[in-house]
Amino acid sequence: MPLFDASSGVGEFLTAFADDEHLIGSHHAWWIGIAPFLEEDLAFCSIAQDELGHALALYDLVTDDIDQFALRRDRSAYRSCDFVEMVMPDWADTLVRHWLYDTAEHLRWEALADSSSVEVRGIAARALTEESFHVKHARLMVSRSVQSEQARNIVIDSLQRLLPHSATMWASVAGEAEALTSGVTTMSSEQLAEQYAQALRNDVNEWGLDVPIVLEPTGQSHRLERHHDFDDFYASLNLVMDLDPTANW
Amino acid sequence: MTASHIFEVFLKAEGKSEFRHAGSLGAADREMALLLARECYSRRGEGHEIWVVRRDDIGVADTRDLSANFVKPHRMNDGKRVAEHRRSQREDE
Repeated sequence: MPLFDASSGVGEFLTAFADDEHLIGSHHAWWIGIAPFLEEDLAFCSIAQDELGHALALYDLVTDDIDQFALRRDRSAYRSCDFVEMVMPDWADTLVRHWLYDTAEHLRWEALADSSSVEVRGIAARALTEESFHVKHARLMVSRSVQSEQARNIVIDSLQRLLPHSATMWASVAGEAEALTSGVTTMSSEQLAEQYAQALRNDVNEWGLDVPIVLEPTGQSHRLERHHDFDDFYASLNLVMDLDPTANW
Repeated sequence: MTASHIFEVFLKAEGKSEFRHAGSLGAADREMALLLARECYSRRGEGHEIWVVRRDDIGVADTRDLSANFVKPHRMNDGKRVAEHRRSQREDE
């Protein structure tokens, strides 16, 4: 029996985070072998594996059959946000998403670090040791990129386009209220969104980027619908399994 | 972003072992090199400590200085002749 029922409020809240981690990890891993240079290829895909590891740890709290739950659920049962469902074939967009996502993810884990659930606390403590590296990696990559004028303009363009989509990370599921009252999480999405905006403001000020950080979400606000990129990407994740759904892996 | 310098990476495992050369990588600066070294050479915990050194900062000896007159049997004492001498002495006794 899993620790939390996936259909309970807390289960839904944890599933939303797990789905975000699963989707971002899968999208990051798409770059394996084709990232702009070998060292970053390795680093980025290693980060992707870390994110999938976080997803695994969270799924394990709500299901006994992780493969089925993570990969074969009905699309309406996912609770991922638009921002992690978007396909990004452009490296600059991917890098900016990495920075935005991990800045947010670090805050989300911090909100679980004092969880009333000892299991959730343990996973958060472990994830935070990796997450501090992910944020460092993302910030270094972006801060170095903006030193050249051409790359700086590309980063600014990506940031302006992606910032509204990133706000969908703070779209809360209905179960968040239960997660808060039971103490499983200690911060609301609203509170975390404020911290997120402030962290981004600090970064853009440090790097001298003239981009106002205002979070006006574009896209779904309840995590109940899927982005139009979702179906194709999910079909590609399930491609081999669909060849023979009865096979044992 | 392109790699502008080559760095040599050294890893030290936990305990008393010494730093050993692990490989090289390209990075814009030392901070980036340390970050990338972690993922390229120590993502499975191979290193407890990491050094990165810019290849340009490494002193490189002229190989001709090293290979000159390297055949110097008078400097190569593997103890064989002494052992043989002592063995023959023992046999004489």
